[in-house]
Amino acid sequence: MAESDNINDETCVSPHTDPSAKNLMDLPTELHIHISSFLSYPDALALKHTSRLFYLVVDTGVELKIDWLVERFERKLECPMEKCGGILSVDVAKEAVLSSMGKAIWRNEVLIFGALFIFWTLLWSIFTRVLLNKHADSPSLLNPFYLSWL
Amino acid sequence: MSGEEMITLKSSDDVSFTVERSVAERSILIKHLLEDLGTSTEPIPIPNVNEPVLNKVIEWSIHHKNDPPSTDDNDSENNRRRTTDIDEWDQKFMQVDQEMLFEIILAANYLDIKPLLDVGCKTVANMIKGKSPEEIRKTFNIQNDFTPEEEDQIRRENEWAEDR
Repeated sequence: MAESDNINDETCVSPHTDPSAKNLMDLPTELHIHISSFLSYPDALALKHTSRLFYLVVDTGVELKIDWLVERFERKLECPMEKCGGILSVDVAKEAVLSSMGKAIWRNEVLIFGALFIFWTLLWSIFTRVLLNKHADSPSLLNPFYLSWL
Repeated sequence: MSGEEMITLKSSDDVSFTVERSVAERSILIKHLLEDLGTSTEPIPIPNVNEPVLNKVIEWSIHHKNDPPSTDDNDSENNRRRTTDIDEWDQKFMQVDQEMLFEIILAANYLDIKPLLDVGCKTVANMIKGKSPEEIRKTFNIQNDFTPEEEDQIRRENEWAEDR
């Protein structure tokens, strides 16, 4: 592997000459975690792969993957389902997308059924009122007082 | 604002700053300190923060002194999908070199100024966004301390994400 050479190269190229100058590695671990909590899945993964410290610290768990997939789905971007297979099983991905769809559909369903209910109730009340006024003297099933004629 | 109580803060290099109490109280550390001390005219030493950094922190606190206090409930609710949106003034405020940025983050952490800490960490997160591990290492001068075997394994893990 040629990587060992790279490591040596990097130590020479240091933009920070002042030893007291603060850099990312000087922050305490809780701040590394805090910073990485603002990253989406691919960015967190990239940071995770920069050094051993970040490999231990950065969270790239299933929740983050799912959030990222859901976000892509919502933005109608391609979701790399097959490629995710290695790290995220397709079932989990599908479940995540379906659950997010499910939530949206469920919300819409409540709205649609609510609107339909109100519509039919209004129509029914108008309908019965018209019918009752026309044949107010004859017994009708639509008349709530039809029992009095029985 | 002549009526408001003034507080004197002293940086690690012995420079004094006199600010309104509401400005100083953006720092939860100082807020609790003042609550415990009662009224005191003595300067409050801030041993971990030097003059240029304290100056920046005070500049931020003056601009944000009337912000409503953030609620922790809100934070945890947004935890799952946190945005890295930063308001325009804060973006300009954070246009400093990396050393100053990390000094501000450390100071905000020490002084317990959560919104400033968040702005700082979001700024760093935005610097990481869209970069490859190698680019991140270059940006922040991070030492690659993986062994070649580990790096090989990581590359395999990372393969699918490369052509996103």
